[in-house]
Amino acid sequence: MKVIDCPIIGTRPAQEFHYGGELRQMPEPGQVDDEHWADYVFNRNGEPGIKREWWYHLPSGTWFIAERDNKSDQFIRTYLYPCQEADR
Amino acid sequence: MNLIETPLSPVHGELEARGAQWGRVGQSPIAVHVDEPRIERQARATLALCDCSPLSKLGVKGPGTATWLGEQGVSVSDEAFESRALADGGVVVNLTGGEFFAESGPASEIVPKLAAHLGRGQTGVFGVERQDATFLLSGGKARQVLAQVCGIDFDQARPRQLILTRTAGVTCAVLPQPESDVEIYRLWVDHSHGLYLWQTLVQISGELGGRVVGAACFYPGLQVS
Amino acid sequence: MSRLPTPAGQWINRDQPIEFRFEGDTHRGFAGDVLSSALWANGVRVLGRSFKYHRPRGIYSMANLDVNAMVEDVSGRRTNLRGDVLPIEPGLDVCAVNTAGGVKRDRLRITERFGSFMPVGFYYKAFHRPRSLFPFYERQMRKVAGLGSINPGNTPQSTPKEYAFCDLLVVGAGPAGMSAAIEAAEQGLRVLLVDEQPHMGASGAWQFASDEAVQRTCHDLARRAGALDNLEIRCGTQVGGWYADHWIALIDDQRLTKLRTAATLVATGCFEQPAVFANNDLPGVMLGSAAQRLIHLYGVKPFERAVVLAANSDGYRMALDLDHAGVDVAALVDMRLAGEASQWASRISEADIPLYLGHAVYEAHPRPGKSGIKAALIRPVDQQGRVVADGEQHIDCDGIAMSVGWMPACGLLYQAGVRFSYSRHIEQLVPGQLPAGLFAAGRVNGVFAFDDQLTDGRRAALEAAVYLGKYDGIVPKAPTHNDAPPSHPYPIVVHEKKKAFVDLDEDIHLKDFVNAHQEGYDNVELLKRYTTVGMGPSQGKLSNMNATRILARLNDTSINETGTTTSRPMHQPVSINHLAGRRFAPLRRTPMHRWHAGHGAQFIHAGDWLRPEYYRDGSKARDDCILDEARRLRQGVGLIDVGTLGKITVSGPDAVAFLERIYTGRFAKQPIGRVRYALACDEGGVIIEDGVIARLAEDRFYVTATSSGVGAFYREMQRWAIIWQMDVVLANVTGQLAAMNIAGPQSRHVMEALTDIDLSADAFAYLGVREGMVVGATATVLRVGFVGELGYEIHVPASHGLQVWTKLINAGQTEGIGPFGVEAQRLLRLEKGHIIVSQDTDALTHPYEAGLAWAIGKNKQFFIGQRSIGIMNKQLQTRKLVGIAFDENYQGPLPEECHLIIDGSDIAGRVTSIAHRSTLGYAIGLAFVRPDQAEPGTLLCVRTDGGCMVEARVAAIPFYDPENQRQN
Repeated sequence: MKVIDCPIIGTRPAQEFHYGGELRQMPEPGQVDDEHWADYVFNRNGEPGIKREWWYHLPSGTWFIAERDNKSDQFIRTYLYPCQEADR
Repeated sequence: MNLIETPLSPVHGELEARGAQWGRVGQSPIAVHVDEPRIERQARATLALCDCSPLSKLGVKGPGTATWLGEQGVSVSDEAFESRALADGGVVVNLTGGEFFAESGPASEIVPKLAAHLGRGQTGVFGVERQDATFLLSGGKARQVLAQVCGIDFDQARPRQLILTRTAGVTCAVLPQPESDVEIYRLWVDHSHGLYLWQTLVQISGELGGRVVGAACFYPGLQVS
Repeated sequence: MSRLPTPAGQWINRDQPIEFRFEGDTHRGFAGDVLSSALWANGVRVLGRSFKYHRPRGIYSMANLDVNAMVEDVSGRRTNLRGDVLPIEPGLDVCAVNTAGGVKRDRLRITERFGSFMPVGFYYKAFHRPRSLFPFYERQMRKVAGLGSINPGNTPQSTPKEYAFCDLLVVGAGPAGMSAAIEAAEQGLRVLLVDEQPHMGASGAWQFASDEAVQRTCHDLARRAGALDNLEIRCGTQVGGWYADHWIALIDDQRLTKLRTAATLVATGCFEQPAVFANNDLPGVMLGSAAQRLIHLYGVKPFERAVVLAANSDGYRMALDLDHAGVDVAALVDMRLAGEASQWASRISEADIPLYLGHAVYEAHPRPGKSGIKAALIRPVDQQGRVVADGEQHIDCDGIAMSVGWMPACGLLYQAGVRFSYSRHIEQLVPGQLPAGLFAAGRVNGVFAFDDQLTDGRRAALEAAVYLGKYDGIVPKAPTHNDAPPSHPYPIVVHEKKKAFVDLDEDIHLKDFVNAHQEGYDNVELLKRYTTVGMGPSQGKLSNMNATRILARLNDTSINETGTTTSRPMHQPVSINHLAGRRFAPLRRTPMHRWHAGHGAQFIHAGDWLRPEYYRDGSKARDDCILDEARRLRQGVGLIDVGTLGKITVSGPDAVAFLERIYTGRFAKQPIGRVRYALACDEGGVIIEDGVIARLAEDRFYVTATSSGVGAFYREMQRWAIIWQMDVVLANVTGQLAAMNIAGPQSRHVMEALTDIDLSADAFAYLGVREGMVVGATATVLRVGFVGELGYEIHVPASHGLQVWTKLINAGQTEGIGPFGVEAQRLLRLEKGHIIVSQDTDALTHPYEAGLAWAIGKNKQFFIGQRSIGIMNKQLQTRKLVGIAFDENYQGPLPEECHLIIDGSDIAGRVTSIAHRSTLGYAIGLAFVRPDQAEPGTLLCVRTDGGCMVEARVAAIPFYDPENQRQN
């Protein structure tokens, strides 16, 4: 079982976590046409690469962002939303 | 005394079936002894399981909590998941994100006082109902019980630092509270999971030669009423 | 029972004899013996029968790979136990598996006569025609397939699982492993050293047993290892599997240990590989390492007169061990033309062992009934490595010991993602690039000389210490192998007629490979699956290497081009009991659980929760009990435990704004003390949750959610709060509070005496919320009407749940109060036409389809799903949730949930909820139908069980009290 490093709790086995999907920006609902909105709602990008993903530590109820290479299944780094560059 | 007319531990029935002798914490009955005190003391050092669920608890959450607790005379740690002792023998833990969890000792002074002061116009302080079951696991073999239910490396765990994890498949908070003579682990689990976790711990500690003991093992001031 | 004098037999305790039974006969052995060693010492040579042809088999590896010497308890408690690792103990009573009538005269041995009709893959081709006979074939196949038998009468046993942790796991306590573990521990690492054998030493204990210097070193290592506090040694422990991030399954007698280590050092050594020649499977033919183990570990003389087949120096050393143990070594047959260059060659001649260079064993001659061998037929080998008939010799013997090569025990490395390549230098596979935190040392790493293994162990340990940040000094290089290759490149001898076995697990012989290759299975993965080589219980540990060599030669390519098959966990078979472990099944119970159990409650699982489905009333039928519970409530008063409801508090300055974004409705103008229905959708506009929102203060809300949905929904609430950066404080208090609903025309009357809250209709109207005391507990009381009557939903701290419940029941006695369960509640809400999210809605249902357009706030700026609902509302609606009803005097079959509405030949919809009996006197339900069928009165065709079509009528909802008079 993989281990995941929660920015609050520390390193724990993956079974303590829930995967929350890729971090995506919701388009401004009033500013996009139906087609683009449907693309946001229904389509996901699974191509290999480094993904920014939501992960949730279940026992503590902590949401955070993990950068993960979904090809090698390696976690690169984790941080709390929305901090990105500042936490590097 | 009709016990059914008082607040109850989720494992009250289990202790009743063991012929517990009861005392009181606030309104609630607490199992003071389950066995002969001499046997209980021995078990405390080797392997003992104890229900302390009747201890009163309180959660507070919100941006103003740390300040408010300070104003109430409760000293809390700034560090994530660090616990501090309460003056009444209880403990208060920083759950991060402006959330604190407090449990009074059997004298039950601080938590009821805090609860009474909640909601009196403070800003950024909200009470969170906490009815968790409290179980204590102690003795040289306590780690062997934990090894069967909990994927935490307690070698690396810091004393008095809370671990939010899963035990036997349910969310649980484990606080290592070593004393000079013995290892003690305090487990907090959701009230609804209390009976399940208790029965699981009873079974495992039983296999390892452990016993269920009364709360007087850990709170010698408790008296049978 | 004859044994060799000490120091042979290091592992047995001659002071502790043990009696045991095998195939009904009583034998004696010593503590420390395994079944095979004790039987061999008693002269038993046939230990089992092979899988397909039921040929007699004996000892082959003594390395936990003797799957033809597999036994089961006569009691039926355990099965498929391998004789070469099963410790004997008093009372042990076992029989060979897979025989008809015992191992000596197994009636199924006749199958070999039909061997020529059972070529490889025959069952793929033979048993499907005619189709009608397949069930017959299947029954027969099941009888002959498989090995041990299962006793369904066994009582389940709990085998605990444990978590454990270390810095470095060292797998294998041989020379390399021991030296690595000591070095790592001395560098300050928390080290765990495991070995599957009951003692440390591994190859050091049997391969170099005659070398006193080596023995001294091994004892010294064991002593040093035992003295280190931060080095834990676990013998008798297998590593079952390597999983991501160094998550390891350790298996011993007692338990499965889930180990998390920061790094893993694999020093698993090698499996000795057999030579392939005719009758190479008979009892008496064994690996040289098996013979050495018998001698040195168990003090058992493997043969009286032996032929040694060798292709490396290990074979020479082994021949000397046999000689020393009193075995008459009739011949040392070296497959290599050049023979042995090392000192061992002269030692052989000093011992007067006849040496046959450039020869191979062509065939083993069986004794009658194939119960052993009586001679070896040897032939010279030509320059191409083929045997030639000219010069054949016949050597009498009762045993052939083979030492022709090795295969790394690479299972764990494969599991960790390591690729192997073939080194012509040592004629063996060697590991390539190792992933982070993984290290290999010793023979698995291609390092064979004893001293080199020690060095390599230390080298790997230091690398691990560097990786873990405990060492920054110099790390020596891995030693290189300077001697002749320890493995023969092609230890395979073709026989014109007789079977030469490649895989003893599955009885696959050389001819099978030729046939499969001719049929086009020329790829290693295809060949494996077609022939099933390597798919038996030992998973190819004694056959994959030779299979690869054979295929490479058939394809005329190199081993590297041919490729190897990989290995997956578990490394060795693990009992299901170990895998199942203690079987944790978390259950949530409400505080009133004890009361329910004491009052006839029949519990059902609702998610993690146990809930009363209904309360049994004497001998009354289930449906009658449920209907009575419902009627009692409609006429008087009932009480239900709704503690499983999701309960969330939402507080803070942005609480209202937050709720308005999460839910479809409007809450900004909701007065304090009022309750509103709340519906939530996902971004696609699909209904995901519903409940009520009670406003307790300007900035404080109490929200309920569905029992099964609250966990995920609360999680999403937390995420949106973060994304929107709102000043809101959320808490999921589902388990912290007990909740119960007292409902029915008499409910106010019962409640009045128990609370300080003013319950008068004016002071506390329908959809109001009050905080106050209810029988000594601080309570939040909501006036909601899920069941369609006057009612109060009371939420109190969980520890108070039982006392409040009990007092309500006691107080309601004069009004005839009774508890009601989930089933009655489902019926009552159905009568009111209230939906249950996820029962009456599915993964596509949007609010308009479900008749919940009224719950969508108009002119809201934003809520989740708003944009999608808007789009769907513009589209043509395809279905609508409606009520359906059956006539009062209808007697025919009734549909169940999920039965289809049929229109002509089309599916027009489905039933989502149904009550066969109701307080209204007729069956009612909810169903999705086409919008053109939604008009009340429309007749619908429903296909019920068995295809029977019944007619239902669309009815207006609510069925009960359409004017909502009763809940006010």
